[in-house]
Formats: sequence, structure tokens, C-alpha cells
Amino acid sequence: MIPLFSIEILMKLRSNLGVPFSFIEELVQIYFKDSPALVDAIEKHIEDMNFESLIRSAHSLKSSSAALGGLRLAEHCREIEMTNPSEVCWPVLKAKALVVRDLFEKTCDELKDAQFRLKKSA
Amino acid sequence: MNRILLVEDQREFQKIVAQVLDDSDTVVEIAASVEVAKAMLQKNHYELIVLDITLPDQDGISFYADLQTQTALKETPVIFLTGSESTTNKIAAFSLGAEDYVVKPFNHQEFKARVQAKLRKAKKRSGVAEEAKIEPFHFRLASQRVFTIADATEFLLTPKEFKLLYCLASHPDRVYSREELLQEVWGSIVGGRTIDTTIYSLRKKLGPLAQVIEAVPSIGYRYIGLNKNKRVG
Repeated sequence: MIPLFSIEILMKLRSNLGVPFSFIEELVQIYFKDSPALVDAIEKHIEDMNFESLIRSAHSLKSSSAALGGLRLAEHCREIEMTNPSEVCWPVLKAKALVVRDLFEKTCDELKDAQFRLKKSA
Repeated sequence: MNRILLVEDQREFQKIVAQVLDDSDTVVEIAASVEVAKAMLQKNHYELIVLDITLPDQDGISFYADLQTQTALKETPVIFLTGSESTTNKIAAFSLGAEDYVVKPFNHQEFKARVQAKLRKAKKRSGVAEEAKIEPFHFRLASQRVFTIADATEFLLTPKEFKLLYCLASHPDRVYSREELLQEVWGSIVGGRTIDTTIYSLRKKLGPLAQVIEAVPSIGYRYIGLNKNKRVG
């Protein structure tokens, strides 16, 4: 199973970019600020049965989560993104949206913890 | 200084890409939507565009297709930077002429190297394609126009006449056979009299400057410029 979170991705991001810890903190803050709207949007687009917008929101949440180490959430969003448009089953997508919210909350907890650990080691 | 336009709506990636590409030679400007990008492209010149596909107001592929219809922008190299691994998108991007397609998450050093390579390539291309001054002519290559250096008098040449004059002038004193000129200018061997007819009309248009082209009996032509004493052989 894909790990929920990888702190190594954040560490690699920092060393590859050659940036101070504050840069990573800013990225995490952006994620905390912007991503809840994407989770809400995924649920809303499923309610509205708006497939195109759903795919767009799932895609955005996938990319930003993967960039900051939220691997399992990214993978789950990818599964939604890969839904075959001719085989859309809205109740299944609704169930998947619940998982997205759960994984998002867990990812945020992991990010907070990672921030703390990275700050301590910085 | 290289100016890069990054069209990306996700703030994390705006920050990461700017951090990767910004340096003493490169400045990254950000558009969070296609609408903003269009406005920025109208006002400024960019050496390269880094384009996401999933954007809030229009998808990056169709935006790129729009750019390709605009003469002023179609030569600007575009690198797609996207989370989409879709083969359809990749094919569409490359079919339209994209320079590269990079999937997120991406290796930062590799991405920077790719961008720098495209910038170098674009610079080289525009350097070659802009203009050339070969006495007594000033060639504007992109618009295929030719003027005198001395007083900017324009000669109204056909595209073939322009190509023929530029081909000869680019290699002063080199004797070109008719076959070589046909290959260079027409891209194929066409009728035997084509070269002579085009040279005749070109010389007529050049008036007193027609002497820059000299016929080499039994072979073809060469460019000797205005100083006939320079001739070799």
C-alpha cells in the first residue's frame, strides 16, 4: 500500500532547491490555505454531477499533495481523475470523496508533524 | 536577461518553479490563468513560456493552439509542465509544436537544464533568423526584405529572388553551379532556365548594384560585392 505521507519528499524538495526551512513552511501554509477549497469542490462537483470540474479539482489536489509528500491522497485523487467518462458511477465517486476528505485531514496532520520535525532538525 | 512566463494556477508550483528558474540571467513572471497570460503576452516579450494544462479558465493545450495562430507568438518556445500523464495530451502538445512536456512531480535540476537548453536554442535561432548586413545590402530575414545599407532603399524582391541573393551574398566569391543554386533556393532541380531567368529579374531590380552578382561561364554565379578587384580566380 502506498504510504500515507513521505517526509523525505519535503526534505528532498528543500535540498534540491537549496532553500531555507522557511521556504518549505511557506509551501505548507499555501497548501493548508488553498487545498480545503479543492476538497470541498470535489464534493460539490460530485453532488452537481459536474464531471469535467470534478476531474480538474481532483487533478489539482493530486499535484499539490504529491509535491508535499501526501502520497496516498495523491494516488486516491489520481484514481478519481482517471475515471472513465463513459463509466461514471456517481455513488462510487461520492464514496471516494469521503475517502479524499479523510486522507486530506490525515495528510494535514502529517504535514504539521513534519514541519515540527524539520524545524527541530534545522 | 531571459524573461519566462509561467502559466500556473497552483501557488505551490508557482513558488517552486520560480525558485528553480529564477537566477541572475532569468526572471520568471507568473500568470495564474489564461486570461492573465494573454494580457501579459500582449504587453511583454517572453523568451519562453512554461505552461500548465489544467487551468481555471481554459485548458493549456487549447490556449497553446490559440498562440500558434498568432504570428508574433507562434515562435515563442513552450514547455508544458503538468500533472497530466495523458498520452493524448502529450501527443497534442508535441503535434502543436511544444518544445517539451514535463510531468509533475519533476526533478528540479533536470527541469532547469531543459529550460536552459530551450532558451539557448531559441536564442541561437533568433540570432540566425533576424538580420544580416552584407555589403551593400541589409537583409531582414524574417520578413524577407532587403535594403541598401547606405540609404535604406528597399528592393522589392520575390521570395525566390530574395533567397537567391541571400544565398549568394552569404558566401562571397564562392562559385555556385546552377544545380547547387536550384537545390538551395528551390529545394529541387527544376527547369534549366529557371536560375537564369530569376538572376535576370533580380539584376534588373538591383539596378546599378546588379554588378554584385557575376556570371561564371559554363558553371553558374558568384557574389563579388562592389569591389571587383577582390575577385579570386
